[in-house]
Amino acid sequence: MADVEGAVVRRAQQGDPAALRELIAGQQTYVYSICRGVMRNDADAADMTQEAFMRVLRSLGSYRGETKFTTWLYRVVTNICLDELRRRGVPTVTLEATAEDLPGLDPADPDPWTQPERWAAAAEDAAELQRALGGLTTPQRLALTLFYFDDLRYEDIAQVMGVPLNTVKSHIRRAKERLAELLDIRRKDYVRCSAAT
Amino acid sequence: MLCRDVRAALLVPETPAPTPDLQEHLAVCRACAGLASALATLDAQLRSALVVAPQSQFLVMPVDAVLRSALVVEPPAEVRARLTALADIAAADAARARVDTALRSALLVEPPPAVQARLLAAAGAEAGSWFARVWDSLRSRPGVFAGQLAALAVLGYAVMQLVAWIGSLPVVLGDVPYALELLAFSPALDYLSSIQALLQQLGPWLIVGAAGWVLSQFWARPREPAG
Repeated sequence: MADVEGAVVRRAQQGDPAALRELIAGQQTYVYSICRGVMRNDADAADMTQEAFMRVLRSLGSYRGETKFTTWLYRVVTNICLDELRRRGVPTVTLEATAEDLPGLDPADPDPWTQPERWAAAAEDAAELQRALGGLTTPQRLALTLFYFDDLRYEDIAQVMGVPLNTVKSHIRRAKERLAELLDIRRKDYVRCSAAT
Repeated sequence: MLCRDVRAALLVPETPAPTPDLQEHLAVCRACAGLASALATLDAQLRSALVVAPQSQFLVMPVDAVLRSALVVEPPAEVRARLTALADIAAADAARARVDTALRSALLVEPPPAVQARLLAAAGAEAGSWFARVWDSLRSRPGVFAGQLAALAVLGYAVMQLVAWIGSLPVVLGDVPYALELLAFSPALDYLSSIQALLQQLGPWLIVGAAGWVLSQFWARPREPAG
Protein backbone atom coordinates (compact mmCIF):
# COMPACT_ATOMS: atom_id res chain seq x y z
CA MET A 1 0.00 0.00 0.00
CA ALA A 2 1.15 3.51 -0.65
CA ASP A 3 -0.56 6.73 0.22
CA VAL A 4 -2.77 8.04 -2.55
CA GLU A 5 -1.05 10.66 -4.67
CA GLY A 6 -2.17 14.22 -4.10
CA ALA A 7 -2.89 14.70 -7.78
CA VAL A 8 -5.25 11.73 -7.80
CA VAL A 9 -7.06 13.07 -4.74
CA ARG A 10 -7.46 16.50 -6.30
CA ARG A 11 -8.80 15.05 -9.52
CA ALA A 12 -11.15 12.85 -7.54
CA GLN A 13 -12.38 15.90 -5.61
CA GLN A 14 -13.15 17.53 -8.94
CA GLY A 15 -15.19 14.51 -9.96
CA ASP A 16 -12.79 12.93 -12.45
CA PRO A 17 -14.21 9.42 -12.96
CA ALA A 18 -10.81 7.88 -13.71
CA ALA A 19 -9.36 9.26 -10.49
CA LEU A 20 -12.35 8.06 -8.48
CA ARG A 21 -11.99 4.56 -9.93
CA GLU A 22 -8.30 4.57 -9.16
CA LEU A 23 -9.01 5.66 -5.62
CA ILE A 24 -11.58 2.95 -5.01
CA ALA A 25 -9.61 0.19 -6.68
CA GLY A 26 -6.48 1.08 -4.74
CA GLN A 27 -8.11 1.35 -1.33
CA GLN A 28 -10.93 -1.17 -1.35
CA THR A 29 -8.83 -3.89 0.23
CA TYR A 30 -7.87 -1.73 3.18
CA VAL A 31 -11.34 -0.30 3.62
CA TYR A 32 -12.87 -3.78 3.52
CA SER A 33 -10.31 -5.03 6.02
CA ILE A 34 -11.15 -2.24 8.43
CA CYS A 35 -14.87 -2.90 8.05
CA ARG A 36 -14.30 -6.60 8.62
CA GLY A 37 -12.25 -5.85 11.69
CA VAL A 38 -14.94 -3.68 13.25
CA MET A 39 -18.12 -5.41 12.07
CA ARG A 40 -16.68 -8.92 12.58
CA ASN A 41 -18.55 -10.62 9.80
CA ASP A 42 -18.06 -10.65 6.06
CA ALA A 43 -21.60 -9.76 5.03
CA ASP A 44 -21.70 -6.66 7.21
CA ALA A 45 -18.18 -5.79 6.12
CA ALA A 46 -19.25 -5.85 2.46
CA ASP A 47 -22.27 -3.64 3.17
CA MET A 48 -20.25 -1.20 5.20
CA THR A 49 -17.52 -1.08 2.56
CA GLN A 50 -20.01 0.10 -0.02
CA GLU A 51 -21.65 2.48 2.44
CA ALA A 52 -18.27 3.83 3.48
CA PHE A 53 -17.16 4.50 -0.08
CA MET A 54 -20.42 6.24 -0.90
CA ARG A 55 -20.09 8.53 2.08
CA VAL A 56 -16.41 9.14 1.40
CA LEU A 57 -17.15 10.12 -2.19
CA ARG A 58 -19.80 12.56 -1.00
CA SER A 59 -17.52 14.09 1.63
CA LEU A 60 -14.35 14.09 -0.48
CA GLY A 61 -14.51 17.84 -0.69
CA SER A 62 -14.02 18.13 3.06
CA TYR A 63 -10.51 16.66 2.89
CA ARG A 64 -8.14 19.61 3.19
CA GLY A 65 -4.79 17.84 3.20
CA GLU A 66 -3.94 18.34 6.89
CA THR A 67 -3.14 14.63 7.21
CA LYS A 68 -2.29 11.84 4.83
CA PHE A 69 -5.24 10.97 2.66
CA THR A 70 -5.24 7.35 3.76
CA THR A 71 -5.23 8.40 7.41
CA TRP A 72 -8.27 10.59 6.75
CA LEU A 73 -9.95 7.86 4.74
CA TYR A 74 -9.44 5.13 7.32
CA ARG A 75 -10.58 7.44 10.09
CA VAL A 76 -13.81 8.15 8.21
CA VAL A 77 -14.38 4.45 7.52
CA THR A 78 -13.72 3.50 11.16
CA ASN A 79 -16.17 6.11 12.41
CA ILE A 80 -18.82 5.00 9.93
CA CYS A 81 -18.51 1.41 11.16
CA LEU A 82 -18.57 2.42 14.82
CA ASP A 83 -21.63 4.60 14.21
CA GLU A 84 -23.36 1.64 12.58
CA LEU A 85 -22.61 -0.55 15.59
CA ARG A 86 -24.01 2.10 17.93
CA ARG A 87 -27.05 2.47 15.70
CA ARG A 88 -27.64 -1.26 16.05
CA GLY A 89 -27.47 -0.95 19.79
CA VAL A 90 -24.25 -2.87 20.21
CA PRO A 91 -22.84 -2.18 23.68
CA THR A 92 -20.71 0.90 23.61
CA VAL A 93 -17.65 0.21 21.55
CA THR A 94 -14.71 2.30 22.58
CA LEU A 95 -11.30 2.26 21.02
CA GLU A 96 -9.67 3.52 24.20
CA ALA A 97 -7.63 1.20 26.41
CA THR A 98 -9.74 -0.91 28.73
CA ALA A 99 -8.95 -3.38 31.47
CA GLU A 100 -8.54 -6.05 28.81
CA ASP A 101 -5.65 -4.11 27.38
CA LEU A 102 -3.64 -4.32 30.57
CA PRO A 103 -0.71 -6.68 30.18
CA GLY A 104 -2.07 -10.15 30.67
CA LEU A 105 0.83 -12.38 30.05
CA ASP A 106 3.71 -12.10 32.38
CA PRO A 107 6.78 -11.99 30.19
CA ALA A 108 8.36 -14.22 32.82
CA ASP A 109 5.60 -16.83 32.42
CA PRO A 110 7.16 -19.94 30.92
CA ASP A 111 4.13 -20.62 28.76
CA PRO A 112 3.83 -19.72 25.95
CA TRP A 113 6.87 -17.49 25.53
CA THR A 114 9.36 -20.18 26.12
CA GLN A 115 7.79 -22.55 23.66
CA PRO A 116 6.44 -20.24 20.97
CA GLU A 117 6.78 -22.85 18.29
CA ARG A 118 3.71 -24.56 19.76
CA TRP A 119 1.28 -21.76 19.10
CA ALA A 120 3.15 -20.68 15.96
CA ALA A 121 2.26 -24.00 14.42
CA ALA A 122 -1.37 -23.40 15.39
CA ALA A 123 -1.19 -19.98 13.78
CA GLU A 124 -0.44 -21.58 10.46
CA ASP A 125 -3.90 -23.10 10.53
CA ALA A 126 -6.03 -20.36 9.00
CA ALA A 127 -9.22 -21.57 10.58
CA GLU A 128 -7.59 -21.72 14.01
CA LEU A 129 -6.24 -18.26 13.52
CA GLN A 130 -9.65 -16.88 12.54
CA ARG A 131 -11.19 -18.41 15.62
CA ALA A 132 -8.45 -16.92 17.75
CA LEU A 133 -8.96 -13.53 16.14
CA GLY A 134 -12.58 -13.72 17.21
CA GLY A 135 -11.32 -13.66 20.79
CA LEU A 136 -9.82 -10.21 20.41
CA THR A 137 -11.64 -7.04 21.37
CA THR A 138 -12.64 -4.61 18.62
CA PRO A 139 -9.88 -2.09 19.41
CA GLN A 140 -7.26 -4.86 19.51
CA ARG A 141 -8.36 -6.35 16.22
CA LEU A 142 -8.62 -2.92 14.55
CA ALA A 143 -5.19 -1.85 15.78
CA LEU A 144 -3.70 -5.14 14.64
CA THR A 145 -5.37 -4.81 11.24
CA LEU A 146 -4.04 -1.31 10.75
CA PHE A 147 -0.62 -2.49 11.94
CA TYR A 148 -0.39 -4.74 8.90
CA PHE A 149 -1.20 -1.93 6.46
CA ASP A 150 2.11 -1.04 4.88
CA ASP A 151 3.30 2.54 5.23
CA LEU A 152 1.05 3.15 8.22
CA ARG A 153 3.05 4.30 11.20
CA TYR A 154 1.96 3.98 14.82
CA GLU A 155 1.23 7.72 14.79
CA ASP A 156 -1.06 7.27 11.78
CA ILE A 157 -2.85 4.38 13.48
CA ALA A 158 -3.34 6.58 16.52
CA GLN A 159 -4.91 9.27 14.32
CA VAL A 160 -7.16 6.74 12.61
CA MET A 161 -8.39 5.31 15.90
CA GLY A 162 -8.41 8.64 17.70
CA VAL A 163 -6.43 7.32 20.65
CA PRO A 164 -3.00 8.10 22.10
CA LEU A 165 0.10 6.53 20.62
CA ASN A 166 0.79 4.40 23.68
CA THR A 167 -2.74 3.04 23.55
CA VAL A 168 -2.11 1.83 20.00
CA LYS A 169 1.03 0.00 21.04
CA SER A 170 -0.79 -1.42 24.02
CA HIS A 171 -3.58 -2.73 21.78
CA ILE A 172 -1.12 -4.38 19.40
CA ARG A 173 0.95 -5.97 22.14
CA ARG A 174 -2.09 -7.20 23.99
CA ALA A 175 -3.61 -8.53 20.78
CA LYS A 176 -0.58 -10.66 20.00
CA GLU A 177 -0.34 -11.87 23.57
CA ARG A 178 -3.99 -12.80 23.56
CA LEU A 179 -3.60 -14.62 20.26
CA ALA A 180 -0.66 -16.54 21.64
CA GLU A 181 -2.72 -17.51 24.66
CA LEU A 182 -5.68 -18.58 22.58
CA LEU A 183 -3.61 -20.49 20.07
CA ASP A 184 -1.70 -22.21 22.82
CA ILE A 185 -4.92 -23.07 24.63
CA ARG A 186 -6.40 -24.47 21.46
CA ARG A 187 -3.27 -26.42 20.80
CA LYS A 188 -3.43 -27.87 24.28
CA ASP A 189 -7.09 -28.72 23.81
CA TYR A 190 -6.29 -30.37 20.49
CA VAL A 191 -3.50 -32.39 22.08
CA ARG A 192 -5.77 -33.36 24.99
CA CYS A 193 -8.55 -34.42 22.64
CA SER A 194 -6.15 -36.32 20.45
CA ALA A 195 -4.76 -38.11 23.49
CA ALA A 196 -8.27 -39.02 24.70
CA THR A 197 -9.13 -40.62 21.39
CA MET B 1 19.22 -6.10 25.93
CA LEU B 2 17.14 -8.08 28.40
CA CYS B 3 14.81 -10.82 27.22
CA ARG B 4 11.82 -8.85 28.56
CA ASP B 5 12.79 -5.87 26.39
CA VAL B 6 13.45 -8.14 23.40
CA ARG B 7 9.99 -9.66 23.68
CA ALA B 8 8.39 -6.20 23.91
CA ALA B 9 10.34 -5.10 20.81
CA LEU B 10 9.30 -8.23 18.94
CA LEU B 11 5.64 -7.81 19.86
CA VAL B 12 5.52 -4.11 18.96
CA PRO B 13 8.46 -3.46 16.60
CA GLU B 14 9.49 0.19 16.34
CA THR B 15 11.40 -0.34 13.10
CA PRO B 16 10.69 -2.53 10.09
CA ALA B 17 13.97 -4.36 10.53
CA PRO B 18 15.51 -5.56 13.81
CA THR B 19 17.96 -3.14 15.38
CA PRO B 20 21.63 -4.19 15.76
CA ASP B 21 21.15 -4.64 19.52
CA LEU B 22 18.16 -6.88 18.91
CA GLN B 23 19.98 -8.92 16.31
CA GLU B 24 22.91 -9.33 18.67
CA HIS B 25 20.64 -10.65 21.42
CA LEU B 26 18.79 -13.00 19.09
CA ALA B 27 22.10 -14.40 17.96
CA VAL B 28 22.92 -15.55 21.47
CA CYS B 29 19.49 -16.19 23.07
CA ARG B 30 17.78 -19.32 21.72
CA ALA B 31 14.50 -18.61 23.53
CA CYS B 32 14.17 -15.14 22.11
CA ALA B 33 15.26 -16.36 18.70
CA GLY B 34 12.51 -18.98 18.82
CA LEU B 35 10.00 -16.34 19.86
CA ALA B 36 11.14 -14.09 17.02
CA SER B 37 10.65 -16.91 14.54
CA ALA B 38 7.22 -17.74 15.93
CA LEU B 39 6.13 -14.13 15.88
CA ALA B 40 7.36 -13.75 12.31
CA THR B 41 5.15 -16.71 11.36
CA LEU B 42 2.27 -15.19 13.29
CA ASP B 43 2.81 -11.84 11.60
CA ALA B 44 2.71 -13.42 8.15
CA GLN B 45 -0.44 -15.37 9.00
CA LEU B 46 -2.12 -12.36 10.57
CA ARG B 47 -1.28 -10.18 7.61
CA SER B 48 -2.98 -12.55 5.19
CA ALA B 49 -5.88 -13.08 7.61
CA LEU B 50 -6.52 -9.44 8.41
CA VAL B 51 -5.71 -7.61 5.18
CA VAL B 52 -8.24 -9.16 2.89
CA ALA B 53 -9.42 -8.09 -0.51
CA PRO B 54 -13.18 -8.03 -0.76
CA GLN B 55 -14.55 -11.04 -2.51
CA SER B 56 -15.99 -10.19 -5.89
CA GLN B 57 -19.46 -11.37 -4.99
CA PHE B 58 -19.64 -8.91 -2.13
CA LEU B 59 -18.75 -5.91 -4.23
CA VAL B 60 -21.84 -6.52 -6.30
CA MET B 61 -21.93 -3.01 -7.68
CA PRO B 62 -19.13 -2.31 -10.13
CA VAL B 63 -17.12 0.81 -9.50
CA ASP B 64 -19.10 2.78 -12.04
CA ALA B 65 -22.36 1.89 -10.41
CA VAL B 66 -20.96 2.85 -7.00
CA LEU B 67 -19.90 6.18 -8.40
CA ARG B 68 -23.19 6.69 -10.13
CA SER B 69 -25.24 5.93 -7.05
CA ALA B 70 -23.00 8.19 -4.98
CA LEU B 71 -22.89 11.08 -7.38
CA VAL B 72 -26.31 11.00 -9.00
CA VAL B 73 -28.56 11.77 -6.10
CA GLU B 74 -32.23 12.69 -6.03
CA PRO B 75 -32.70 16.13 -4.53
CA PRO B 76 -34.88 16.42 -1.43
CA ALA B 77 -38.63 16.86 -1.91
CA GLU B 78 -38.53 20.53 -0.93
CA VAL B 79 -35.87 21.26 -3.53
CA ARG B 80 -37.82 19.31 -6.15
CA ALA B 81 -40.91 21.42 -5.41
CA ARG B 82 -38.95 24.65 -5.74
CA LEU B 83 -37.41 23.51 -8.99
CA THR B 84 -40.83 22.62 -10.33
CA ALA B 85 -42.08 26.10 -9.44
CA LEU B 86 -39.06 27.63 -11.16
CA ALA B 87 -39.84 25.64 -14.25
CA ASP B 88 -43.43 26.90 -14.23
CA ILE B 89 -42.25 30.50 -13.90
CA ALA B 90 -39.76 30.06 -16.70
CA ALA B 91 -42.45 28.56 -18.92
CA ALA B 92 -44.78 31.49 -18.21
CA ASP B 93 -42.01 33.97 -19.01
CA ALA B 94 -41.31 32.20 -22.27
CA ALA B 95 -44.99 32.31 -23.20
CA ARG B 96 -45.13 36.04 -22.44
CA ALA B 97 -42.05 36.62 -24.55
CA ARG B 98 -43.66 34.78 -27.43
CA VAL B 99 -46.80 36.92 -27.12
CA ASP B 100 -44.70 40.11 -27.05
CA THR B 101 -42.86 39.05 -30.15
CA ALA B 102 -46.08 38.28 -31.96
CA LEU B 103 -47.66 41.61 -31.01
CA ARG B 104 -44.56 43.55 -31.97
CA SER B 105 -44.40 41.95 -35.37
CA ALA B 106 -48.13 42.57 -35.83
CA LEU B 107 -48.16 46.24 -34.77
CA LEU B 108 -44.80 47.59 -35.89
CA VAL B 109 -44.98 47.34 -39.64
CA GLU B 110 -42.64 48.84 -42.20
CA PRO B 111 -44.54 50.94 -44.77
CA PRO B 112 -44.63 49.46 -48.23
CA PRO B 113 -41.74 50.50 -50.52
CA ALA B 114 -44.00 52.70 -52.63
CA VAL B 115 -45.08 54.69 -49.56
CA GLN B 116 -41.50 55.07 -48.41
CA ALA B 117 -40.52 56.46 -51.83
CA ARG B 118 -43.38 58.97 -51.79
CA LEU B 119 -42.39 60.16 -48.32
CA LEU B 120 -38.81 60.73 -49.39
CA ALA B 121 -39.88 62.61 -52.47
CA ALA B 122 -42.23 64.84 -50.46
CA ALA B 123 -39.47 65.70 -48.01
CA GLY B 124 -37.33 67.08 -50.88
CA ALA B 125 -33.58 66.77 -51.35
CA GLU B 126 -31.95 69.91 -49.87
CA ALA B 127 -34.70 71.24 -47.63
CA GLY B 128 -35.73 67.86 -46.57
CA SER B 129 -32.22 67.03 -45.74
CA TRP B 130 -31.63 70.35 -44.01
CA PHE B 131 -34.87 70.19 -42.15
CA ALA B 132 -34.12 66.59 -41.27
CA ARG B 133 -30.67 67.48 -39.98
CA VAL B 134 -31.97 70.35 -37.88
CA TRP B 135 -34.89 68.32 -36.65
CA ASP B 136 -32.58 65.41 -35.79
CA SER B 137 -30.21 67.72 -34.01
CA LEU B 138 -32.95 69.34 -31.98
CA ARG B 139 -34.66 66.04 -31.26
CA SER B 140 -31.45 64.40 -30.12
CA ARG B 141 -30.60 67.27 -27.76
CA PRO B 142 -33.82 68.65 -26.31
CA GLY B 143 -31.92 70.33 -23.51
CA VAL B 144 -29.91 72.33 -25.99
CA PHE B 145 -33.05 73.18 -27.88
CA ALA B 146 -34.73 74.44 -24.73
CA GLY B 147 -31.65 76.42 -23.73
CA GLN B 148 -31.44 78.06 -27.10
CA LEU B 149 -35.11 78.93 -27.00
CA ALA B 150 -34.66 80.46 -23.58
CA ALA B 151 -31.67 82.47 -24.80
CA LEU B 152 -33.66 83.73 -27.75
CA ALA B 153 -36.52 84.69 -25.50
CA VAL B 154 -34.21 86.66 -23.20
CA LEU B 155 -32.57 88.35 -26.16
CA GLY B 156 -35.91 89.25 -27.61
CA TYR B 157 -37.06 90.68 -24.28
CA ALA B 158 -33.87 92.71 -23.98
CA VAL B 159 -34.25 94.09 -27.49
CA MET B 160 -37.85 95.01 -26.77
CA GLN B 161 -36.81 96.82 -23.63
CA LEU B 162 -34.10 98.69 -25.51
CA VAL B 163 -36.40 99.66 -28.32
CA ALA B 164 -39.04 100.80 -25.90
CA TRP B 165 -36.52 102.96 -24.11
CA ILE B 166 -35.26 104.49 -27.31
CA GLY B 167 -38.80 105.11 -28.41
CA SER B 168 -39.54 107.00 -25.24
CA LEU B 169 -36.78 109.46 -25.94
CA PRO B 170 -37.74 112.72 -27.74
CA VAL B 171 -36.39 112.95 -31.32
CA VAL B 172 -34.09 115.87 -32.04
CA LEU B 173 -33.82 116.98 -35.74
CA GLY B 174 -31.66 119.73 -37.39
CA ASP B 175 -28.12 120.93 -36.97
CA VAL B 176 -26.11 118.02 -35.82
CA PRO B 177 -23.46 119.98 -33.91
CA TYR B 178 -26.19 122.00 -32.40
CA ALA B 179 -28.04 118.77 -31.74
CA LEU B 180 -25.00 117.36 -30.05
CA GLU B 181 -24.63 120.54 -28.05
CA LEU B 182 -28.23 120.29 -27.10
CA LEU B 183 -27.72 116.67 -26.23
CA ALA B 184 -24.72 117.44 -24.11
CA PHE B 185 -26.59 120.11 -22.21
CA SER B 186 -30.00 118.63 -22.52
CA PRO B 187 -31.83 117.12 -19.63
CA ALA B 188 -31.84 113.93 -21.72
CA LEU B 189 -28.58 113.16 -20.09
CA ASP B 190 -30.53 112.50 -16.97
CA TYR B 191 -32.14 109.66 -18.79
CA LEU B 192 -28.71 108.19 -19.45
CA SER B 193 -28.40 107.42 -15.81
CA SER B 194 -31.29 105.04 -16.14
CA ILE B 195 -29.34 103.09 -18.77
CA GLN B 196 -27.17 101.84 -16.06
CA ALA B 197 -30.14 100.57 -14.10
CA LEU B 198 -31.60 99.09 -17.25
CA LEU B 199 -28.40 97.39 -18.06
CA GLN B 200 -28.24 96.16 -14.52
CA GLN B 201 -31.67 94.70 -14.95
CA LEU B 202 -30.87 93.15 -18.30
CA GLY B 203 -27.40 92.08 -17.35
CA PRO B 204 -28.39 89.14 -15.12
CA TRP B 205 -30.77 87.92 -17.78
CA LEU B 206 -28.03 88.07 -20.37
CA ILE B 207 -25.72 86.28 -18.01
CA VAL B 208 -28.36 83.61 -17.40
CA GLY B 209 -28.83 83.20 -21.11
CA ALA B 210 -25.10 82.99 -21.75
CA ALA B 211 -24.64 80.49 -18.94
CA GLY B 212 -27.47 78.39 -20.25
CA TRP B 213 -25.93 78.37 -23.70
CA VAL B 214 -22.51 77.40 -22.33
CA LEU B 215 -24.02 74.63 -20.21
CA SER B 216 -25.98 73.31 -23.13
CA GLN B 217 -22.77 73.02 -25.12
CA PHE B 218 -21.01 71.02 -22.43
CA TRP B 219 -23.94 68.90 -21.30
CA ALA B 220 -25.11 68.03 -24.73
CA ARG B 221 -26.63 64.52 -24.80
CA PRO B 222 -24.64 62.21 -27.05
CA ARG B 223 -26.16 61.82 -30.43
CA GLU B 224 -27.92 58.54 -30.90
CA PRO B 225 -26.20 56.41 -33.51
CA ALA B 226 -27.69 56.70 -36.97
CA GLY B 227 -29.85 53.81 -38.15
